[in-house]
Amino acid sequence: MSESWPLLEVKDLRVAIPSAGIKVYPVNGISYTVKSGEVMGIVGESGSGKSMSSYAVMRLLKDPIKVESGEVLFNGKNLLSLNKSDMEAYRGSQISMIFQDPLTCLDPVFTIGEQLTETLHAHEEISDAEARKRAVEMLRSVSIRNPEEIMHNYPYEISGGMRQRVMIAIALLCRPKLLIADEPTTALDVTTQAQILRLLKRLKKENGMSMVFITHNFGVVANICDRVSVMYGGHIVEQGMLEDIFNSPRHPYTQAILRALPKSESTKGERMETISGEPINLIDAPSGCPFNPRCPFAKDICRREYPGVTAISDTHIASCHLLAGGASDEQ
Amino acid sequence: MSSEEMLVVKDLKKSFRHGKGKKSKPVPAVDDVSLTIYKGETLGLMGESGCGKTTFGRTVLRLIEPDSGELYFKGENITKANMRPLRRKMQIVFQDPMGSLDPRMRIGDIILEGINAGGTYSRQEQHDRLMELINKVGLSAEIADRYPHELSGGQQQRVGIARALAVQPEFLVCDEAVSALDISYQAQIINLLREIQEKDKLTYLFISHDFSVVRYISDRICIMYLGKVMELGKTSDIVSHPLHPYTHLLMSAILYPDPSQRQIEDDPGEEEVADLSIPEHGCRFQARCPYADDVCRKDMPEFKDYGEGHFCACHKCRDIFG
Repeated sequence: MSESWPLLEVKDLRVAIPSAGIKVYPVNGISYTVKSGEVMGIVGESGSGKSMSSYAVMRLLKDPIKVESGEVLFNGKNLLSLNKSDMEAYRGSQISMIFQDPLTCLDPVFTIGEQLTETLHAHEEISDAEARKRAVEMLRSVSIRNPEEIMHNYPYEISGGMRQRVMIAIALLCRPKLLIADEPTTALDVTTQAQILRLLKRLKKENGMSMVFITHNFGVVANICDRVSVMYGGHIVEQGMLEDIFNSPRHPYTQAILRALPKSESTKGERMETISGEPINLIDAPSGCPFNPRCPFAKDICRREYPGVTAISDTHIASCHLLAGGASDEQ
Repeated sequence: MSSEEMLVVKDLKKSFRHGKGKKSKPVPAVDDVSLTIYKGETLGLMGESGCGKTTFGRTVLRLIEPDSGELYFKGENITKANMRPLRRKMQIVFQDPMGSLDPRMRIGDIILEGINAGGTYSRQEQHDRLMELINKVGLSAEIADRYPHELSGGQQQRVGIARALAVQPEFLVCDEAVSALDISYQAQIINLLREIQEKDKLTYLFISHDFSVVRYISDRICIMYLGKVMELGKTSDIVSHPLHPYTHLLMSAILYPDPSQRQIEDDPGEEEVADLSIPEHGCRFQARCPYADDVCRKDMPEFKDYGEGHFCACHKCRDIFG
């Protein structure tokens, strides 16, 4: 497999929730690829569809939420057409996922050790002793100091940072090719966040793993991602290399959100920049571009039609009428 | 900011028992903390989870009773006082707005409950006051008929603030009040809190683990570690000239949104996880401090003034950071 081969290809993915006779689309036709060894960041605010799209990739959506159309190709194979047991074979061994709140995925009534060995038994023919050995090794590699002791603990007995490490250990036990990380550091202190990011970077290098990294923290994005997709209202509104997005953002939403970040040198007295308006309400979604009610540059066409994709360079695309129409886009 | 004292905390202590049955032992969450919050200022209180900042915030409001120490509110000793009349003067805004609003009550009723707790008003006065509060926190009138779950996180937090303001308090504890919000709404709430402070001359204790937010709102910043205050000073001094190695560690761990200066190396080595238990002797921070030596492992450092109200508890800070 060559270095640039796309490991994951998401094509025009659309997720629907039936709601009071109508359908709403938390994910409304998104496409992205993740190459082998690459980290794709997905950023956006709550309700932008960033987590929902990843649940769809993992086939973890719960009824009545369904993928309505699109493809998820993993090494060329469409995961959406696999039957349940074939998908289970992929999940955990080929693709793994970690979450913001480790307590939601750790079982409170089993010890850490039982949860780790269970994962190994599910995917491999392996003896109990061998499974325990692998589990302890894995805990050590996620920088847990006393793995033998932790094996006997229940999730509630260890700290938040430790739980996050245990969850990462479970996700990486079978050396997946792709890790989907859904805000894994959002609930953590900055010091623990830095440790977890270092850990993920090290494990990625050791295992040659690719990642989809979902976050709303641009500091985290700048430090771990190779490419970035910016989501708003179920759409990817801008996508490019890290430098494209940070140094020359072209979509008004990306520009606004980057301006709203706390500045490193600011103290009290300065007003923080904000984006006016409230987040999108899917049930009462605006027609046209979802950002138009909050966009300072919105024109009539923005309220009527969703903009097509404009290629800004080989690596950088955005969906905005201002770019497509050749209107003045220097802000 | 004035020199008038709003809240004076003296030698405040609070321990919780940790462990099971006979093996349980008290672990200090707040250990001998003394500080003063002046009228009209915002004191930012920060530190990692488990440092005791939330316990401190709740203990000064006596939502948790202290083990020992004294609390003075506007000169009055409130350590043992009946808190009921004082609750009007001292309010709190919580981190999780959804969890602190009754899901079965309409927004208008939630805020009215606060208004009526603060005094007796006629129907018309209640209504006027409700609209004034809703307007003050930047919401529109029709929100009064909605339920909490119909609101976004930012709107819920505005309701939490309106309810706290309903009794016309003088002192407000904001416990991680913006931590659960998206960045653009964090900025809106911070700006709102500052506008309200200027108009109503409120005093804030702003508790947060997020340095980048704390420094936007605070006049002074206090940094806690394992129950002790490590450093205290004016925001500009702390930001430009931090004295404590722990403050340096916290500041260096903030990730800046700038791909040209990545702080997480591309090829990081393995790292040890720090020991977070309270040491028997010496400085609380010794296990994680790169400068710790025998003195630090033996004696608890004194909390000293290094000029213009910039306090620090470290044996080494003079030598290291001048």
